[in-house]
Amino acid sequence: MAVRPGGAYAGRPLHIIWLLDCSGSMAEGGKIEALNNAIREVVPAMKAAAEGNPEVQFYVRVIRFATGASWHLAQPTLLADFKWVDLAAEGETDLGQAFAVLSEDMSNLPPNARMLPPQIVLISDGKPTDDWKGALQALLSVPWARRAVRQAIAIGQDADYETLRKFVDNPERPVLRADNAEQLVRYFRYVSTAVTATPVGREIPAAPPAPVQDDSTW
Amino acid sequence: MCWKVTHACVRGSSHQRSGLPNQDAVEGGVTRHGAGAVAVAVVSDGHGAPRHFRSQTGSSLAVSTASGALRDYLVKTALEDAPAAFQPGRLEELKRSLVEGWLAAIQFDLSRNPFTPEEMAALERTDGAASRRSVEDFPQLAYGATLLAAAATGSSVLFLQLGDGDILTVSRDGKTSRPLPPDERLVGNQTTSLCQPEAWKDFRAAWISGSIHGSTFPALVVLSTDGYVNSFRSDEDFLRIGRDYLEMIREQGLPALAEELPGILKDATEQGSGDDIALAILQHEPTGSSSGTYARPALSAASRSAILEQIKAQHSSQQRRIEALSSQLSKTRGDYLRLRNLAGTLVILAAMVPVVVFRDRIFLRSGGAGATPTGRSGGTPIPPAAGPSVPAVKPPPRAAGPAAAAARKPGQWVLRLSAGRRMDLRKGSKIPARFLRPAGSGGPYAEVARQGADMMLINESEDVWSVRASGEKQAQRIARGQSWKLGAQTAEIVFAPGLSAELSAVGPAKTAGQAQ
Repeated sequence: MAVRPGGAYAGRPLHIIWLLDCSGSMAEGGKIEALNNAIREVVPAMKAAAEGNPEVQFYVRVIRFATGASWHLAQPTLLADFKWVDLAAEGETDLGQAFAVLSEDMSNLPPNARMLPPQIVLISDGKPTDDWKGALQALLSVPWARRAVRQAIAIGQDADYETLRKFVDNPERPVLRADNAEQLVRYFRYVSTAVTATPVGREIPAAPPAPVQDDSTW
Repeated sequence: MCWKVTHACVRGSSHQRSGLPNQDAVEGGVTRHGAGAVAVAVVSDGHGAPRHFRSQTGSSLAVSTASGALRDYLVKTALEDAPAAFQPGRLEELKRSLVEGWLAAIQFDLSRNPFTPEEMAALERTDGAASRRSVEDFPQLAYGATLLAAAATGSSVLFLQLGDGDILTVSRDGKTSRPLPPDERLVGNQTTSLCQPEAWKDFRAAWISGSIHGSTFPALVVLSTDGYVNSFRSDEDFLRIGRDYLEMIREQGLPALAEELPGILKDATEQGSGDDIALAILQHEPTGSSSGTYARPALSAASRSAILEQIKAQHSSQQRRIEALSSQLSKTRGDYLRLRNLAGTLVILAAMVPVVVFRDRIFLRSGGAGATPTGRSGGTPIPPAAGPSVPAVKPPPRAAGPAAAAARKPGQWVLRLSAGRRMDLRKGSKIPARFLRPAGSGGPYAEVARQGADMMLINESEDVWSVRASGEKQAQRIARGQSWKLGAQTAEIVFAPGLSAELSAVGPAKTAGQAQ
């Protein structure tokens, strides 16, 4: 007797997409270096947390936005195969274009229920310089984007919190504020390991609100 | 009679690791009625989100109320005149009665087991105040579940589905298809549900009718919760189960497959979705079989634990009795005869209690006239279905599971570090990072909190723990945000290399003395 009716088994895919601000202001105060370092620190922690969750296949992709927006890592990449190529900062803050790139991608995802809701993390230090409102509206009308767990980390006091809040669009998930490199690592690690540590059938926990900082550098 | 039914239900490997219960449920069987008979199979998937914290009970009540209601409906209508029974108007009434039957069963459960302050506090902590208010306003949310059913006579099959999951038909030549249209709303773990307002409007329904010997009539009908389809690489991989199960049944017969099913589904959840899986198969035998009976699996050592787990999922209210039975079973390992007697007693008890308690209703229904499906739910909080659902045999309130027993005695665990330090744990206890690493930084390391009916030790650190219950060979990994279910068993925890501890339960008297 065949012991396995049906074809091949496979874990469920969960796509993690980072929208990273690479505008000129990110070059000031060592922010872009801090972001590159944070990613190098966070991925091993995500990998470790994912070991407790073997039924899920976590794929990472990255969109960078500055003057225009494009895929920095277009190929969905398993955590085990993830290698980071540093981002450089220069130009405007075309967040609306980043939303448009993401919208197009999410519209092409198959509508079946097998894929777990994606996680989208937006990290930005400034005000958008293009028309982001229409692009965000279009993004949130795509079912998979609407269903995604959306989170945002604001870098420093000049970040546009209102825009980030509208992107998250969920009062249960406050925008996190990182005022120095250490906080950026902490919050990025929190939201990233929360998703890889959460078993199927549980909600991904919201990160705690950022405490008031007394050691701001940004 | 020409239908046979078998089913199985396994707890998801991810649920097992994180201490979540089996929230799926399944029920099915064949009932003779005069010269004819009806076969019914129902599966249900209790939702996983925090606000559906009683979905394990919700899915059990869904399968038991629906299977009873469908059986009665078919006996009274479709055995004689299938086309009339499946007219749109009649089907609308049936859908409504299925939802109302479930709601009535929940009302009854709530009257026996009102929400506890601990349940509501846990919900507010994990899901926010708005979530708590929504459950206070609509208590059925706590029990949210899907419902998939197939009900068959010798000449027709009715399919009903509310929420995600799959109903497949398999033709005699192995062609596998879905008799119901897709529902575009089911995206990314989102589903329609019995707990939503006017849920009957969201049912998908279809029926087929034909000659017993007709080639268009399905050889198999397969129902499964979404944990099964999500375990396969693609939908094509999943649909191959139709042909494969048909071949397995033809080669070995349904009883042999029934024996294998828990193992097959366990492999699927481990190598696939990690989610609970409930599966039911109706087999149609065109030549007619003299014994149109439920294919009862023999109790082999391999399937014993899975079957026990299934019974637990379906009859959570009888948890204590089953646990007593389970421990007896383990003592009599190898003595299959005795084992079968015990299991049989349990099943008879489960079946008898509703019969005794609701004999008036059952007799009324078997009388036939006047007991239409929609007429049954009027003004009574008692569910219309006969079957083991009605929680009349519940032990005193709050006995929802093994952890519930623990929950009655708060503060009954002690953590002893190999370094010599110890800490008493009770609900709300927070283990500071300095307790484990006195030289390290401060902040929380772990916390004891209630999740649903269970008391859990939640990892709030960056360490990935390795926890092994005594008697178990394999350790579980608990990463940040994951938790270990606290129970009566002693467990060894390796928090990090060189940092281990023993976690054990202590008696209530001792705990009272230690209260701080």
